[in-house]
Parts: sequence; structure tokens; C-alpha cells
Amino acid sequence: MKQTLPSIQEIHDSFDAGTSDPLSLTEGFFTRIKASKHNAYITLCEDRALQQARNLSIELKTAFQGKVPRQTHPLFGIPLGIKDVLTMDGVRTTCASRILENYVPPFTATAVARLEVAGAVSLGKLNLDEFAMGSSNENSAFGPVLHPTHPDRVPGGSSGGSGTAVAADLCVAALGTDTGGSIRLPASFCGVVGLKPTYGRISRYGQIAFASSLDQIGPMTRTVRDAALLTGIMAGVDENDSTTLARAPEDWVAVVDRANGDSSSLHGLRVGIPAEYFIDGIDPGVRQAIERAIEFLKQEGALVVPVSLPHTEYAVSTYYVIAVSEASSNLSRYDGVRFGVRPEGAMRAATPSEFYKEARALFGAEVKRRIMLGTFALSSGYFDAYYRKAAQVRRLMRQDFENAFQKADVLVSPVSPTTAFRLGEKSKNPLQMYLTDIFTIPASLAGLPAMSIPVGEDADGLSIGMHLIGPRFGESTLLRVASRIEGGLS
Amino acid sequence: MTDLGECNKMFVISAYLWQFHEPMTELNEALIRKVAELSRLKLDEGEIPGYVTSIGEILNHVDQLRRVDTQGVEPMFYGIDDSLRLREDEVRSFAPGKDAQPRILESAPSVEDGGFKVPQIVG
Amino acid sequence: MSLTCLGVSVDVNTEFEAVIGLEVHVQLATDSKIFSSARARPEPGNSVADEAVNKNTTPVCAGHPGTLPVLNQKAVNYAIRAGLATSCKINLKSIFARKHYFYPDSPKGYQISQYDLPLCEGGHLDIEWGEEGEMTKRIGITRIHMEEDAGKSVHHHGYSLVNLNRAGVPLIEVVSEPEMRGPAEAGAYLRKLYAIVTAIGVCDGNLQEGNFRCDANVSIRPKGVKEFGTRVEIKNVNSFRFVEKAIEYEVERQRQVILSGGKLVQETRLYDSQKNRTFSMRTKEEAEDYRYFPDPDLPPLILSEEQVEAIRASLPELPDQKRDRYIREFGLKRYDSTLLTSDVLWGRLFQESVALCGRENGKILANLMIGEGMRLVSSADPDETKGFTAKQFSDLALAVADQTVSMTAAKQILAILFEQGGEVGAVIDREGLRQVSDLSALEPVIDEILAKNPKQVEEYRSGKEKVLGFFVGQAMKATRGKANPALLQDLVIRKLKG
Repeated sequence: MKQTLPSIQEIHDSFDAGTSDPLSLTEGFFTRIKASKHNAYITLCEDRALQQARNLSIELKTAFQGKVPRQTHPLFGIPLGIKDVLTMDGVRTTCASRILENYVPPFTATAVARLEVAGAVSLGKLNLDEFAMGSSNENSAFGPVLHPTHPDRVPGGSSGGSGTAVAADLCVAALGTDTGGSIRLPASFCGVVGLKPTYGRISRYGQIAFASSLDQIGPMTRTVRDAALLTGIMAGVDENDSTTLARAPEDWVAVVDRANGDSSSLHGLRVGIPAEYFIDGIDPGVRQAIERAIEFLKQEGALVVPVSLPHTEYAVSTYYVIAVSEASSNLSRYDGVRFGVRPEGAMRAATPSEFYKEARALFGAEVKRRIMLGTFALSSGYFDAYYRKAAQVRRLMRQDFENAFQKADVLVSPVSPTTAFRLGEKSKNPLQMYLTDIFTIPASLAGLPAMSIPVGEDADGLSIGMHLIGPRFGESTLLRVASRIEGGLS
Repeated sequence: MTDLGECNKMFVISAYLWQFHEPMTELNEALIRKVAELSRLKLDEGEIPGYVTSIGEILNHVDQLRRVDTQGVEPMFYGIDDSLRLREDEVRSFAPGKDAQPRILESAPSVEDGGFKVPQIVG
Repeated sequence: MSLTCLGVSVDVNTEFEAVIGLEVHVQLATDSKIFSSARARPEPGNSVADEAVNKNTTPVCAGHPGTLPVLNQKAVNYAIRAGLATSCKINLKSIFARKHYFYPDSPKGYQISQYDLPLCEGGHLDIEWGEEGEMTKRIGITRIHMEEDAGKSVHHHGYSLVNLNRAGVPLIEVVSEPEMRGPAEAGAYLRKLYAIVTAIGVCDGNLQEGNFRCDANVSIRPKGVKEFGTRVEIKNVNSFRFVEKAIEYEVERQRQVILSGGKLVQETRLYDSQKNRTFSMRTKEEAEDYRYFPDPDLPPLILSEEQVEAIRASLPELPDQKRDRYIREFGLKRYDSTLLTSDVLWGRLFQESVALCGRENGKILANLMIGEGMRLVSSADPDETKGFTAKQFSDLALAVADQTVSMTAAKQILAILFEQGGEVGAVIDREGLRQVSDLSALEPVIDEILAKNPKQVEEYRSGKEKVLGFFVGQAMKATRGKANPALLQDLVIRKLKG
């Protein structure tokens, strides 16, 4: 574990001590971002961020007399990176697509707005796979993001910019979004903490939709406590999103702080090992690291129990039918009429169909493939066999989890069977790429909270993440376990 | 780095076995063209065979769902179980304190007299 | 060569019957839109045309990426009200679905509507038609579902401009069973539905602004045949009379196509009210594939029995109930009562006028309104009372009741009020229409008439009492309706006998 970068708490301590302030911290990030070759950011909001940071620095000295107002502004002066799938009023938001290359939204995503109210400084918009469709961040119209430590490798996707930026010190923390693993996979590949909360915890208002019933915003951070902090600020009912949960967020920072100070906090915790997640194809390095982590949990007093998730083998099929169907619908709005780019050809179109085809010609190949797949799965004559069938299997997968959580409090597995793969290695074969997400997809389908927590490196020095899956609303358990692992496993 | 085929052995095996089943859908160029038309996507002639192959492979994999007995299973169409939360009937500006109309037009590629401009064949 | 239709041979003498089903889009009278807090209808006093283009358009209405729909509580309540008022079953669980089509007035590329599990199902309404409303029938309502309206394109030379002020305005679509058999039934259905949705306050009822729009599905078949013929959909007609005329035209057009050996195609047609004909808009060669699926942004709408019952309890008196009450309370004829209670504005005017002149004069009032008021306004659509006020009607009813003016004069007064406006008393005085109950004024008039018509006088005296009417009529004419009819009759009899 390379836990060398300061946490939010430590940054606030340095503000208190007067050894740093929001402005100098923010300036430092822009210096590093500009020198970096990772291609982590698509758009920088430098003027906006520096103005914000300058004001905060002044306030710190004047209104707050040098003491960070942690209660009222828990993210006071903390520079964040925002995945470019989230809207910010007046800041270009591209979703890594040429079709939105010039889109400047007139409103801000609820999650981002809440972080900024808490004092966060948004540095810019982070690179991703176009419309969050991908597992390697190679599907970006703005070029691939490079792995933070191994430039010939992918950072994972779709929140690849977020993973690399956090790991490479290009922001203190980042927002990612997760539809089938898009936070957890890059967190694992890049060696940072990634949390996908229970579906509905965090408002999707301002999150450009990929698959609405699966999409969820979450933090990617240096520490478990930072993840708890960001989640707590973003979570809760939003009147602009009908799918936010009525259930109130918990004080997850307190959960983490308690776990850190209590070596008995995992005593009697039932850790479930899903048989279907420990298949032959897992990299030996990954397997070893996960087994070592499980051993650590045992030492902490946890009880390891075998569980079964029998429908796991259908996860990828189920996921792809549902995700692409919803995506084909969500992406119908890109027609160059009200926003976005309208290519030259559209105005010369001779038929309505031609107009739309010209206007929608800017989608990348993977996006087009998924739209067509989804259109097909929803079309008359196929709906029952594909979409409805997949939605039924999804229910069965969720029941698998409910059964498993009768026996266990948390489930663990690798995030991915492999560590970060090479650029170009899987990009020629979509199905192989889809299979990268086999362990992360089921929790997405079931709407469960899940995390990636670094547990070591393979022989090549590539990070390995352990995957924690909790029951619905079980963020506290995940954070408790992750926090012990973070503190005890090195 | 393990070989890809190794790494996803279980799935590759099932995909292998399933190549011998009778596919649920015969994917051909005509069907790709039809779906592209429904999706309003322009495909170059050269692209079509590639999509037939890649989409065909995915659909072939997805056919495994047929093996699952889903008789009487309620489909899960939503991410949450809560019922719909409603809002009060209240008029509110999305950009309080600002003149909202120009904001909504600023992001449009072509505007005239406050309207979004499109070629007449479409409108 | 013999012609056949639906397996039956037909010729010019074959009697065809129309099969008509109506889909009515009713705009719900909410302030904000169905899924966003943008303004849904102009501020009071403004018309839709007063609103600047795209003024009432938010990122949600424009389908900006990242926006989400949040359902308007009041729209739901209104839709339930409409369902209850048309005897529908309210589904305690209903589902919103996405209906996909690419068109610039459809900002998301799909419309949020209801498909499987609509809010209301299985209702009906009772219609009356014919000269005196003597024909009655119960028409089934298949379903009522909620949906969002589309935007509007305005066409210019070579380009169009899209205005999304209307996009997301809340609608209910009321779908009838195909149970109407002619234009008059369709008209009666629309008037009854209109009366209901305006009476229960869920629709402003402004036809010019498209608050109540009708699509008619029309086919014909030889009478007695059970199967349905090829159906034509006539889109977006927003006047009751035009719907009747469009159907009338369409039924005859289809008959002629069949009798000329042609083939009807399933298509969408538009009605041109200027030319009084329908013309083809598009044929359904390749049926649209709307790819309906449950909207993942909107979980199921779950209602409780209590919520529905609370709305049921809050329903005002419905037009049919009011009609029956008016028959009881004012002794009105059923048809007259129907006329008064099926139109919100006339109904309101009647109620306000009764409040001023007293229930005992309700019948006189009704006669004034139906016999003359509605006739004067008949050229306009039913949302018009052309500026008549309750004060005018009640003053006039009182003047008739206390014999200040005759009914005949009252009708003249109404015509003057309709043309020029004004106050009843002033018009009576100005026009000299006060009823003449003064014997000395009437005697010379009658004497003159009797002198001019000796033949009729002789007839009366020989026992033909019917000619009395002739004399009274002549006297009325001579006094321009001002004579008190009862007094006049007494006087004529006295003179004839004397």
C-alpha cells in the first residue's frame, strides 16, 4: 500500500497549521495536471477553480480565523476532479463524445453542487469512455487515459480519468460513476479506494445517463475515510431525481473513525465467499492477494462462510441486454437540435431519417454498437425474449444475493480476474472486454453497494483491488471492513 | 498477465458450447440495417460486416439466458423498490435570478427568433 | 362484377354503418408541467401566443443530458378525478413507459406515456343526441392514461423553428371503445366528455389553445357485419363540429372507395375545415416501432385506496347529476336541462343568475337561455357565452315574471343585449318594450283589428273559437310584442262576445 498522499483530514490539518492554503494547493494541482502525460482531464476549469480557491483562502484567514470550518464545510478548499459525465453549469461537459464536444450545460449535477456547497474546488472534467461505455478508457473521443504508474496499461474504465487522477496526484479525490463496475474496476487497476453506493443513494440529476436503472455516482479517493466523507455529503433525497432513496444517509465518517480505533470491530462479522467468483481463470497474483486479505479478515475475528450466487454465469448477458436497451433509449436525445454538435451534413439532409443519421454520425463505434443492440432488444417481436427475459433473470440474481446475505454480512471477491491490461489488448473484441466486468456486474444489477479497496500488487507492481459487496443500504459494513483492511494490510 | 481465454474460461466454454445451438435470432446484414435505421445511425457499407460479427457474437452469448427458468418471475425494471415520489405543482425557474430563456438557447447549434432551427423536411 | 366488403357483397343500396372510436387528449389545468417545474399554461390573462418562444422551457423540457422527470402530484390527482368521473377503475399501481420516435418536437427522442398498466381503465359515459336528445347510449372508455405533450414546430420557407413551451404539458388521453356509429354520436360523446372534464375542474377547456384535442378512428362496414373494416385515423381536430363533419366526410369517402371497387388503406388523415375534406398525411406502410418499455427513471406510481376515495369524495356534482336535479328543482324538460348542464360556462351563468333572481324563476331563466341566448351564440363553440352576464339574465327573468315585459319582448331584449350589451332596464325603456297592461291603450288596437277582419269575427261568433289565436297574434304584432298576452286575450274575448 502506497498511502503517501495526504488525506482530506491531513490537508485540513495543514490548512490549520498555515503550511498550506486552498489557493496554493489548487495551483499545485494545476501545475501537476499540465505537466502530466496521463490525459486524465478533458476540460480544466482553471479560472473558476482558482477564483473559488482564492476566495476560500481569504475566508480561511478572515471569516474563519485560520481554522478550517470542518463542521459546516467538510470539504473546505479540497480540489476535486469530476468525471465528465456530470454536468456543471457553464463548464463544458462532453461525456468524452464528439457529439457533445461543445456542450455547455445550464445546470449543475446535484452531487457536484453538494460537494461545492461543502467547500470543494472543482479542478476540471475527467476523461472517461464515451458515455461511460467501456472498461479500459480506450473509447474516449479525447484519447485514452494512461495508467498512473504503467503507461502501457489501461487505467480501467469507464472512470479511468478519475482513477488515474486520484492515483497520480492530479486531484485529492474524484467523482466516478458506476453502471457495471466503472468505479470499482479503475479503482482496482489504479490502486485507489472506490465506492459504488446502493442504487438511489446519490441523485443522478446531472449525471448523463448510460443505463438509468444501474447508473450510480460514487467517490474515488485516497482513503476509506475520504470516500465515507464524500458519500455522506452527496447522499440523500433530491427533488430532481425520482429514484433517490427515501432512507436517510448515515454518518459514515463516524463509522470509519470507530473502526479505525477498534481492533475488535470485525469480530464475528460473517464474510461470505461466493463460490462462483473464485473461478480458474483468476490471475495467480490476484488470487494470492485476495486470499491474503481474507486471511487478514480472519485474524481480525471475522468468520469466513461459503455462499453461492448460482445465476452469476448469466450476469454479463443480463447486464448487457438491460444496459444497452436503456442506453439506446437514453441516447435518442442526441440529435443536434437543442444542444451538442450538428454536423454540416444535417442541414443538407433530404429526408427526416437522413437528418437524424447525419446529426447522430458523431457517436463512436462502441456507442453505436450498443445503441443498435439495445434498439434490437427493445424492438417489437424481441422485447420479451431479450429485455423482459433479462429483467427476470436480474430479479433472480438479486434473490441470489438476498439468500447469500442471510448467511453473510459482506461478500468478498476480486474486483477483476486480472490486473490492468495493456492498451489495445481487448479493444478488438467487445465480448472479451465485457467479460472484464464479470465480478462487478452482479452487484450493479442488484442495486447493491460495493467497493474496491487496494490489497496489494502483482509481480509487475500492478495494483489489485478487493471487491466488497454489501446488502442494500449496507455502506457502513463495507466502510468498516475497508477501513480495517486499509489500516492493517500492507 | 494471463491469457484472456484462460481468464474467462468459464464464459468462453459456455460461449463455445453455445455456438452449436440454434440461435434465437439469425443476425444478418439486413437486420443490422433495419436496426440502424430504427436507431437513426448511419453505417458505412464497410462497417456492416463488422457489426454483424460483433453483435452476432454478443447475441449468441446472450442466448444463454434461454436456459434460465423464469416462469412467474416478476421482471426487475427499476433500481429501487420505493414507489414513485411526486412533486408539488409549483412553477420554478431552473436558473433562479437569471433570465432562463437565453440559457436554454445558448447550447443549441442553430437558433432563430427564440426557436430551435431545423431543416423544413424535419420540422 | 360484384363488389364485396368484409365478405359481404355490396352495391349502391347497401346500408353501411360507421364504427368510430375516439382518442381525446385533455390538457390538465396544472400550473407546472407534468415532469418539470416549467410553466405549463400561460399566466392568467395571457394566451399561449403571448408567451415568448421557449420561455417556458427548462433543461428537463429540452431533454438535456442528465435531466430526469419528476411527476407532478396535481396532474396525478386530476387524472384520477377524470377517471372517477367517467366511472373508471383506478389502478393502484400504474407504470410510465417510454414511447420512442424521432421528431424535433420530441426532445428526448421518446415521449413518456403509459402503456401496460395505465392509471384508469374500464369506464363509460352516457351520451344523448338527436333533435331533442331522445337518443341515448352508453359508450365504453377503454382507458385513461397520463402522458406529456410534444413541442411545436412553426414552418418557415426552407426551415422550421421548434418551440418547446408545450413540451411536457400534462395530458390525459381518454380512449373510447369503438362503439359510436355515426358523427352525431361522436359529437355527443365529445360534448359529454368535455362537460365532465370542465365541470370537475381538471381542464380549462380552451379549444382554441388545444386544451381538448380529438383523434378519431373511423371505419365502415355493411350493417349487420361484426368484423371491423380498415381503419383510418383522423388526427388532431379541435372543434366538436369539425369532428362531426370530418367523420361525416370520411364515412362517405370510404363508402365511395368501396363502391368504386377501390381498396381502403390504414392511414392517418388530416381534416381541412375550409374545404371540408380529409386528406392523407401518411400511410402505415411500415408500422412505427415505438419500442415501449417501462421508464427506469420513474418507478411505479403506487396509490392507496384512501387516496382514491378522498378524491372521489371531493368530486363536485357531475353534469348528469346536475341535469337530473334541474329537472326536479326547476321543472325543466330533460333536453333543456342537458343543454344547461353540459356546458360549464352556460351552467355557471345559469347558477349565478338563479342566485340573483331566485329559484322560483329558474324555469323562465332556462327558457330565456336555451330558447334565445344559446341560439344567438350558436355560431360559436360551446365555451362561449358572448359576454352575457348573470345580472342581465336575472333582471330579464324578473321582468318577465312580474309582467314588466312579455316573453316575446324579452327575446328582443336579449338580441339587443347580444348585439350592443347594456342593462336590461335601460334597454326596456329605450326601446319602449314595457308590457302594455293598460286597457285604454289596447282597446283601440283591438277595435281596429276586428274592423279589418269581419270574416274571422263571423267565424268566431259561429263557434270556431280557434280564430281567437289569430286575433291575439295580430294584436301582439301591432304592439310589437309589448301587450300583456293574458290581458289581451281577455279583452279580445270580451269584444268578440260583446
